[in-house]
Amino acid sequence: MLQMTHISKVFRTELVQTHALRDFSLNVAEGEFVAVTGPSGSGKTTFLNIAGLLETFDTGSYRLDGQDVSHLDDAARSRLRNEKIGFIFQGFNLLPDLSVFDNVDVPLRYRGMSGGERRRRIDKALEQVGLASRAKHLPSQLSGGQQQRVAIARALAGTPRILFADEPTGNLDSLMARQVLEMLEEINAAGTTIVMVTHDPELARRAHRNIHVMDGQVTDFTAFAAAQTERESLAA
Amino acid sequence: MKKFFLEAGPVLRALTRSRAGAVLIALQCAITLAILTNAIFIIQDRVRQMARPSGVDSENVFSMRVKPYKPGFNLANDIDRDMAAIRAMPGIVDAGVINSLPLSEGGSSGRIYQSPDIKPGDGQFTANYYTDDHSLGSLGLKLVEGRGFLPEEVKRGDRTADRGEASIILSQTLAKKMFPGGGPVAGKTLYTDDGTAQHVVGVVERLQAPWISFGELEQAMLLSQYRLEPAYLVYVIRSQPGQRNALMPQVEKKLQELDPDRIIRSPRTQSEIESDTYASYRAMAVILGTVIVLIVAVTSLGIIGLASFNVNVRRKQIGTRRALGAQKGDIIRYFLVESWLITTGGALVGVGLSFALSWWMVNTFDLPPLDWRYVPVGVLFLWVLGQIAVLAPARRAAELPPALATRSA
Ligand SMILES: Nc1ncnc2c1ncn2[C@@H]1O[C@H](COP(=O)(O)OP(=O)(O)OP(=O)(O)O)[C@@H](O)[C@H]1O
Ligand SMILES: [Mg+2]
Repeated sequence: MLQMTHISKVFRTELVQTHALRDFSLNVAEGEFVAVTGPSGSGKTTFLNIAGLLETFDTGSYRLDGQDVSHLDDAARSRLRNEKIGFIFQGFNLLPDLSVFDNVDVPLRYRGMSGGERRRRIDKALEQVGLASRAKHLPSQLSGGQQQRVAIARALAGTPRILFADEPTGNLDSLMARQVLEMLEEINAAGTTIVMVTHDPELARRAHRNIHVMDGQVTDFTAFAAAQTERESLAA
Repeated sequence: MKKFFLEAGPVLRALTRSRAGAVLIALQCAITLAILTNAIFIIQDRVRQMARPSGVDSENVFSMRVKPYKPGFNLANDIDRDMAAIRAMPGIVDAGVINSLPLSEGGSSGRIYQSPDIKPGDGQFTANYYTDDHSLGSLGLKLVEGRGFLPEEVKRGDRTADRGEASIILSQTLAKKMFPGGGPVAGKTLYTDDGTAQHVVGVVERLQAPWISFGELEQAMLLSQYRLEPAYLVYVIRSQPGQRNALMPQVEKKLQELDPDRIIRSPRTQSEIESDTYASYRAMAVILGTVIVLIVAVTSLGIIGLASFNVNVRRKQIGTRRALGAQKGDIIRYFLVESWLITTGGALVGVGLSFALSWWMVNTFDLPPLDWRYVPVGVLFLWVLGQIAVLAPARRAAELPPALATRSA
């Protein structure tokens, strides 16, 4: 599903160069649920941004869903994000002036779907996260956990092939964090690949596979079950 | 285009939720529209008024005043001698005397009636030009009916000489007002304020009054009588086309030679007189033009300012939209749609405001009411202005990196 080989990324400011990623290689198989951990500043978000086509990289190669995405232009990258990728952010990133319904609608409009199709998908996605009755609410009228569920609905409505989550529970208390994680597990069970950055070792343990990032490199990953190892070797 | 309007729904809903800045800019647009439409209408109206012909052959006519100071001068003799000399000069078409000139801002007016039995509210306003049998030629007026004055019709004398019975030539506008039924006008008799008969001998196509503020600018008549007093007389001279500027100083010199004991005052071309009279109109047009430029500039800056502010406070939102699949064009379109909604909101209020402002000016300054067609043109202009003004901030928004979705606070 996701194949990164020898990716490097350097951030240059006037004074310093930061090697956010160096010789970063990783494969994620279709249907996997991967948790990424690592100390602050180790390059987790940088990896996720590159994987999610939000940022470009300097060297190396990257294939997403079988397609080489190293040299795509901005328009093509936007289209891929819209059609194949779902994002869940630590800060929810809901558009504060739009209702829950309109928030979920945003990526569907960018895809140019008809009104009827959009409505059907929005209703289904909100149903799935248990917020169908809140469609007309504004984000500010919801709790943090509810807001993150709206964000999940927004990511799901476009039926992405892969979901990237950057500390999706970072702003939530443990009960709500658990709910969100359960929701992600359901989504994964239904076939969507998930890559999740987290600080919480307990949450990380529930993923199929843990990847530890240190100084911009994958240092260690633990296979949990034989099934996963098998899947990995298939993907490699 | 279709995408543009499809987008309007959610943009409008978002706009109604954080509307403070937008409402202010919309209000500014409304005021801009009201001032823009009315100012341009007034400018156009002034330009149209300035373009109306006075009836005089303005390009070739000039005039001067003559003031003798030697005691015991005989003005009648002077005039006859001066006129004979001027008319004999090569390049001169005709010359005559008159009490004042069209659009000169000074002269005489009165009312004229169809019957000597005058009732209040009867009659028509008219400018009165007291003149001689050379008036058609010296002013270059175009006769459309009847004839000019005959030499024997002209009466002149002391203070009461311009109060008697005489022949008159009407402007066509005045003729139509006095004789709405139509038919020949020459040969009819009209009456001045005190019931004195005046005999119509002709009609000229156009003859404007001296005052542009005069409600009935096109109503005027010539009378075949004048007062022999220097303050009430102007020499009016018409040259062959193209010779005016050369002849004006020659005529002045000639008059001085004929009698050095007098002052020749204010030699002026008719074009100058008309242009000076309209100076206030031109000044008004320039002031209004400046106001238009300023208010359009201020409104553009307002739109740009609001959009720039929005780009800054929405950095994370824009990054998020990009993460969710927005193309750069989608981000630009968002700002264009938003600006269109704001200007449209302003325009809705502005249309009402335009007519309200016009109504107030009609009542306060006696201006003509706003031609409604200026309003849709103004709205169109406002839309275009809104789109152009927002373009630069919108482009900047589109260039924000998608990574702002995860990287900004
Ligand atoms: N836009 C940028 N310009 C310069 N340096 C950057 C930029 N973005 C990230 N970095 C640097 O790159 C390195 C990796 O950052 P990254 O955000 O990927 O870390 P992280 O693992 O997500 O950390 P955290 O757990 O705190 O979120 C850090 O040293 C960071 O300062
Ligand atoms: Mg991070």
